[in-house]
Amino acid sequence: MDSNNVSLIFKALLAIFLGSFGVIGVFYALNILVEKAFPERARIKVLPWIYVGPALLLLTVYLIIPTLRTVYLSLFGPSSNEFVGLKNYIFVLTAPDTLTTFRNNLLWLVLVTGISVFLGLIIAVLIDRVKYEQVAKSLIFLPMAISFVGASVIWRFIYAYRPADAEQIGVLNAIATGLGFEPIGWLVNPAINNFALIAIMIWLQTGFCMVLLSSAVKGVPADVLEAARVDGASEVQIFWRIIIPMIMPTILVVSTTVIVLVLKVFDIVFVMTGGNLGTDVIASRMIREMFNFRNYGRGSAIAVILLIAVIPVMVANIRRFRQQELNR
Amino acid sequence: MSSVVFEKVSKQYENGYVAVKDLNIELEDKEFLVLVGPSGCGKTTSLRMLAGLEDISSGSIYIDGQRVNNVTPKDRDIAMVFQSYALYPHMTVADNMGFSLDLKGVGKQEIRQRVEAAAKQLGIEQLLERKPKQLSGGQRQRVALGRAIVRSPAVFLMDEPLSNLDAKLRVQARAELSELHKKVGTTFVYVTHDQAEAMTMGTRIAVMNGGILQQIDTPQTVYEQPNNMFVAGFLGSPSMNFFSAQLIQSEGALVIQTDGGITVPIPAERLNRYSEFSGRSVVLGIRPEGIYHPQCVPPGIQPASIPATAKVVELMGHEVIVHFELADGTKFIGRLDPRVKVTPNEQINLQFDLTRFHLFDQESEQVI
Ligand SMILES: Nc1ncnc2c1ncn2[C@@H]1O[C@H](COP(=O)(O)OP(=O)(O)OP(=O)(O)O)[C@@H](O)[C@H]1O
Ligand SMILES: [Mg+2]
Repeated sequence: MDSNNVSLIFKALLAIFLGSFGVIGVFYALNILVEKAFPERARIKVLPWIYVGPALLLLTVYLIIPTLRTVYLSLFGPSSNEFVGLKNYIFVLTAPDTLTTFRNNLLWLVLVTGISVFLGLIIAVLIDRVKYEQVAKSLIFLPMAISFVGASVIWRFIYAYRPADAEQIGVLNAIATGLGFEPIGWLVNPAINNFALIAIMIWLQTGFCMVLLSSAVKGVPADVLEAARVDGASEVQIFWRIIIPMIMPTILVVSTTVIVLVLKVFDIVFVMTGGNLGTDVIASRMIREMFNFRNYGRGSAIAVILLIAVIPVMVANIRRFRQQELNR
Repeated sequence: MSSVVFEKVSKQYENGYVAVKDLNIELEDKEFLVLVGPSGCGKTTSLRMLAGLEDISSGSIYIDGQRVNNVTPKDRDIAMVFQSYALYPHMTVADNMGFSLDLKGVGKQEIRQRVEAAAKQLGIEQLLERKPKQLSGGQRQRVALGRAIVRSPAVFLMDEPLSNLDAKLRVQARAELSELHKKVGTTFVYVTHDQAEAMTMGTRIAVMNGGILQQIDTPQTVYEQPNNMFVAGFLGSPSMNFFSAQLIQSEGALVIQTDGGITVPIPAERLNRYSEFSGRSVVLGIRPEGIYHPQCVPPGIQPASIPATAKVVELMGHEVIVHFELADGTKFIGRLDPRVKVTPNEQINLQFDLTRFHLFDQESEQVI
């Protein structure tokens, strides 16, 4: 190990140390300050702001200001010096290229959310009756621990394509040729490449859905299920009419979380196809507009549209969360 | 018509524990059977086997003459009230009550009618649109009952449905349940560990202990003629006093001589019954209400004088519970008339009623 590396590690440790203890120190100091500087009555009013303050400050600097600036930039040309009004938006919402990204995103949204939540739910219910439940659960949950980029690298091998006469190194094409079929260009065939990418995301997200839904399913009291059984419900009816409605809050939270994740998806597309061959999604398009095509205006416009798309989901989530708090 | 028969039913759980052993019960239509016994004696297990929620390890259960061992709960035509009520939290009271009818494919109109009729019967019409969360414990208990009666099942099963209610509500609900049983006229199987519920509600009660049925009969018979020491001690509060004793011939008469030195003659009408047990070790059982203060001896009993010392006196208002001690230190409890004053350490010449005592074989603990 050379000295460069050692100093890097040292710096990292220092950062972690300063980061965690620094924050504690800041809060501690502020707390003392308030206790010294304010009379008891005022303290109660001031203290919350002291604790929320730093977070609000950071949010303002790193989230709100950039957002406002993005909105501002989206009204300007490629290098941000001429005002173009809504031209970027009109372009983004009409150009066939970007329309494809919207279509793709919609496809991602519906398929990833639908399938991973549904699969997660089915597995959650079935796994309740499996002997080695913990092991099975961990296996299904494992992909969650892999970063999107890591997963993409893995799946590049699974989807790898070689001409028909060469040796296939991809699992899927090895199977295909082994069965006597022609190798398939999973990532280049426009009819299937989007689905191939979506499958990766489903693989990554199903475990997450399953774990949350599984704990919700376990939260349904056994005697309620028995009461339904005595009342004459079949297992399928119990699933649809008792379990699903009782865990609906969790299903909605899980769904919205996946929806937000999918709206932001970019890494998988970027690594697998670079957004070519009709696989671009909003987020990867945004990156490409900004950094490949150097068009800050359009990139920002896409970002704003993405933001607007996420807002209703977030609002729904927060509303539901509040309602749950009320119902407690 | 809905008879219920348990025929040599046993239940062994996966961990090897035998919770119910060789249970035999025959119930006729319209009976109200109360399964009673101490905690862990297998009452719930028996009820759940009848409901179909638990497999039967061996033996058979018949409902209406049909063997139901392999029939799923939904096809047994039973309704069950759970101790926790197990209402569906996401449904209104009306939907909770109508759920089983809906599953059967009964029309909306008819469901509504039947739910309203049942709600009226239970006095919960005004709660129909509420969710279970918005109900009190007593109201939930009624909804759970309502959910059961809406279906008019062949058999009602209830597992300690009153145990979550406060004492006053419980007494009221007890009477209402008996009333309900008369009105709907179906077979009830009711589990409780509360002997007051057992005595007041059952047309017959089955006393269980350690997974084994001890006795099944009318409440009065079980109380007055217990089969064994367990049943004798389980029913009644305070419970029956037991004195270990010998059955011996003394001066030409058959007498019970307790280890504490008391001698009680066997009344003439029981001589035949006990004479063959002469010389055996026995247990004399006498209930606290069979013990009288000498100043308050009612007519028609056969008193036997037993001198004892009052140790603790508990005034209950309608009765006085007195803890006594014999000369040798044997303790027992008497339930006396509150009109006589008893003070601690007072020596009293108690009168034991010899028309109401029990003798058990010391070894087998069975009544003789
Ligand atoms: N699933 C199970 N696996 C193993 N043993 C069990 C199981 N369920 C119950 N038991 C045991 O079987 C015995 C009878 O249980 P049961 O629930 O029938 O008792 P109970 O008479 O209803 O008691 P309680 O009055 O406390 O409700 C108990 O000793 C209990 O520990
Ligand atoms: Mg029980």
